[in-house]
Amino acid sequence: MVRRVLLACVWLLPAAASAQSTGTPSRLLQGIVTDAQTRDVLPGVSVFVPALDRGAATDLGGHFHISGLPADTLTVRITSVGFEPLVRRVDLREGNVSIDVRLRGATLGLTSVDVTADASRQRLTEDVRAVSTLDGDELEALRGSSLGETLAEINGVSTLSSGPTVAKPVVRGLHSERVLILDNGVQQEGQQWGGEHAPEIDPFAPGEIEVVKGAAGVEYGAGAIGGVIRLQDRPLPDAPGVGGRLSTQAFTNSGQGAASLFLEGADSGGLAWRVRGSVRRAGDARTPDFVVRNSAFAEASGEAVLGVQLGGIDWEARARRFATELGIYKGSHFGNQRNLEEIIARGGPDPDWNYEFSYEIEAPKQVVTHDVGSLRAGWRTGLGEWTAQAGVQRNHRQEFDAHRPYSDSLAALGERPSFDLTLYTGTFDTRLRHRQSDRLFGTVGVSWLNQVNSNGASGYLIPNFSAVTGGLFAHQTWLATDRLSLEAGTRLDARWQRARPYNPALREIEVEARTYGSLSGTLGALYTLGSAWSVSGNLGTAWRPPGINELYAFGVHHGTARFERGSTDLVPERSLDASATLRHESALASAEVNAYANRIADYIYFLETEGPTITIRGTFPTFDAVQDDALLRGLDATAEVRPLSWLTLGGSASLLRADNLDRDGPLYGVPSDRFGARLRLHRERLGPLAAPFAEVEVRHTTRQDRIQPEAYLPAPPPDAYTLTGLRFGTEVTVNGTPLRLALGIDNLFDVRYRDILSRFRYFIDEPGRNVTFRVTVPFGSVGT
Amino acid sequence: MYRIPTLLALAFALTLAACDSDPVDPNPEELITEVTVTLTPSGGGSSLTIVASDPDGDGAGLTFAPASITLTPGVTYNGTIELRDTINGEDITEEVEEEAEEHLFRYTVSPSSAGTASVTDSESDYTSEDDNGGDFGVGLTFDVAVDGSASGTGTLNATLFHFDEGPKTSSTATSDEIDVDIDFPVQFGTVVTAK
Repeated sequence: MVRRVLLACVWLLPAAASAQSTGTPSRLLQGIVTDAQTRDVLPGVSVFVPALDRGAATDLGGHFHISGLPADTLTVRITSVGFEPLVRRVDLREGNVSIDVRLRGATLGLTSVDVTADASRQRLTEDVRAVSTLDGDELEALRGSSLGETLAEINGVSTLSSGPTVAKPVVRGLHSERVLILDNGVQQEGQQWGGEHAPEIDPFAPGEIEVVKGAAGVEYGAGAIGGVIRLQDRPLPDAPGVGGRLSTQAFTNSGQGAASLFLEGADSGGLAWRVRGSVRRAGDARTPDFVVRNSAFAEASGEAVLGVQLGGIDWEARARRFATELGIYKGSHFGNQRNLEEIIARGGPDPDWNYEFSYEIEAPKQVVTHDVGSLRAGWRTGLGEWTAQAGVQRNHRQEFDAHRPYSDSLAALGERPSFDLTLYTGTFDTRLRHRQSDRLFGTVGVSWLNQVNSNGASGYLIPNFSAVTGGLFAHQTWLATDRLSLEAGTRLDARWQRARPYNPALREIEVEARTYGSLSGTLGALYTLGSAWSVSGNLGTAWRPPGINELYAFGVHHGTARFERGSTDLVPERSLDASATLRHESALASAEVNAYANRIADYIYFLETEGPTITIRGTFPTFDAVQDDALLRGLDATAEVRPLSWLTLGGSASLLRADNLDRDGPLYGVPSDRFGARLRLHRERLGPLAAPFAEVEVRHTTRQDRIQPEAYLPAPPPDAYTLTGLRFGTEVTVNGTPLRLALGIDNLFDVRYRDILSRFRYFIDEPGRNVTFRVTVPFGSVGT
Repeated sequence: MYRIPTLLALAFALTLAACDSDPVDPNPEELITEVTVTLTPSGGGSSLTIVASDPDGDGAGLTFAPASITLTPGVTYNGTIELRDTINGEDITEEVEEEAEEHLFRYTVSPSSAGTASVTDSESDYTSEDDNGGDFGVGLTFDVAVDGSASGTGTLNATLFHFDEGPKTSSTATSDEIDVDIDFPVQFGTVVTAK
């Protein structure tokens, strides 16, 4: 997905803005740029107006001025090496404007940064790897959806779903433990091994979502061999005042209502704060033919952030809680393989149910809470900019089975989870961004993770364990010429873990300790061709130790009628990922084409083994954790053309070919090819409407015909499908307050479809038509 | 910058707060671990018993004791079935009796030429009629009629359908939730039993 800076932050219009007609170019924008932390003036900072393709750089005193601007509201992008980019909306309708800009030190990541005053160049040189960003309007247009559904908007990202209530992101065919989620710098740790365990993130919270596709082991350590999803809150305000925003959504398909409210403020002494609360409540989803029984959910989240500058240190403290209770489609709960075959043959829900829409959540269901507290500090020394961040997390997951205990004594205890896991995680990271010169800079860092898992209920699917992971890394960027930048990085990680798995042969709990350690590395180059094109290449290697479930799982996995057995013989998997990216950025068009090949040695997956597991409950296909060499090759391409000031055309394609090199054939469990096209009509203004737009989008997903020969498939892969969506939006000023309104229709033609990545594809169709309505109301001094 | 070591120490202490001693190991979940079928010739004679057991619950391997039972051709047997959770020491048969309207056993002889099996009890044998006023088979008792020409080996399958959505609606109803599904090994022939 192309970063749409032009449209970003339209809703940041100051509440006091009054409508006036635009005049002839005559206005002057000037100001001063300082470091938010040290208050030093910053020379050489790029101040750019993308809509006009004009900009300036600050002088030695940090001042800039751009004259001859139209009397209109304009978006200005302020960027500098080592600082978070800042987008400001300025209102030049009533006269010249002077702004005071404070840039905050960049704290995240190692994105290669440009040194020229050119926003399009910044996009061209964003990263040597494929990176996609959702922010501003794009993100606002998806508010109310879960994180997994939101991420599916990004080309190359698909969704692994377990009914309408559970969606988790799949990046280039990899998911779960292979995709790391970083929430404001803290590595999100839940029971992410489970395909039906969605990320425990308030989808309203991130102000920006960035997906790094491909191995990112150097920055983020062992595990991140598929990609990294970085979620970043909008920056805390730096101008004194108090403001906030209320955003509400209504979805017709599931009767969903959602709302999120945040308030934020700052004083002149460097103190800033934000509090946020969000709720989402939905009833049962509907396919074109029936109501999906027990697919209601209720979710609530809260967050508090405090930033303060004390004695040259920039502190940021955060606390957040995410809580959800979500129903799992009733029909996914059944007995043994024989039941599964009968359900597939029937093709739909139990005809005896006569089920009607409701908001009730019954078993089977998941009840999850996730708490995170973190403290970050940033400061400068002669060596460079330091950041240190400590985080503690508690993830509590309870899963309730539809099966009631036979025993009266157990039944009398009432509803008890069949699965009750608590995971405590402590993380600590510190890194130093240093500069040898304007052309040579880099980062070194240390990270530490400490984890304890407690299985509070019954069953042996996941044992108790404790683990410690430590890592050490260095990354360097060299701007060899004005056009060529080179980067390299390496990292050493070690993991110690002690688990208490059940040994089925000895019929007892054992204690098993394991140690892993290995290196990750990356090499990249980026070359800009003229002012509108860039090419980059990256070669990375990363590794992942086998997950706890892959080592020790032992039992029937509900909803899939499969008996899963881990293997203690597993060794870490290692990926070697090569990618090449071509980017184009001009007034007329934006495009990114990325080709990649990811070879994973000893790729771990569950494969059906000959001979089913026979139990008193009947027969279940047996799935053993096995390792094969895999090769995933693909192409992700997006393009956007802006032939007229009111017309934008976009297209995307995501292709993936995954092979199992040891078994000569395709690799099982990867998404099918996806194609998309969209047409968007937009105006700066239409009568009383600001920035109105209408968009139609068509997406096609092919049938996955590449199936691993030995793979167990209870039913053939689902057919190809095409979905159409419509979106309309605008901004209306009512009593001086700019209301943002959006109307959307997903699955316009109520198409009946199933997807290869839906774990419930054997039981139910995906949801049908959904009409969405969104209203966003800013108040106070937000964004000014 | 004396604050920095303080900061590091504080942050590190925070991460160690996640440290914990070894947690308590989980208990096994409630499962039917032992199923006993007893067959008594209707014309009199000593009864046959076969026990299917999976003492750890799922997965450690289902075993039969004895390895099989021998049914005499031409004889009709009166059967009973008992379910136990040996891990938690629960008699599940009693629970099935109490919730007779939510359970239905079905028995099948294989090959089908070797005989037929039929359920001989109904809900009102254990409880009064169910909430819907129905009175259907349960299958805690049953008959197995062995064909006079039966020979060789076969199986007697016992399947328990669980109707957690409420009372079953007929004596041939099925549900998506099977709680027991066992093929008991059977031989057909005349055995000389020591009295």
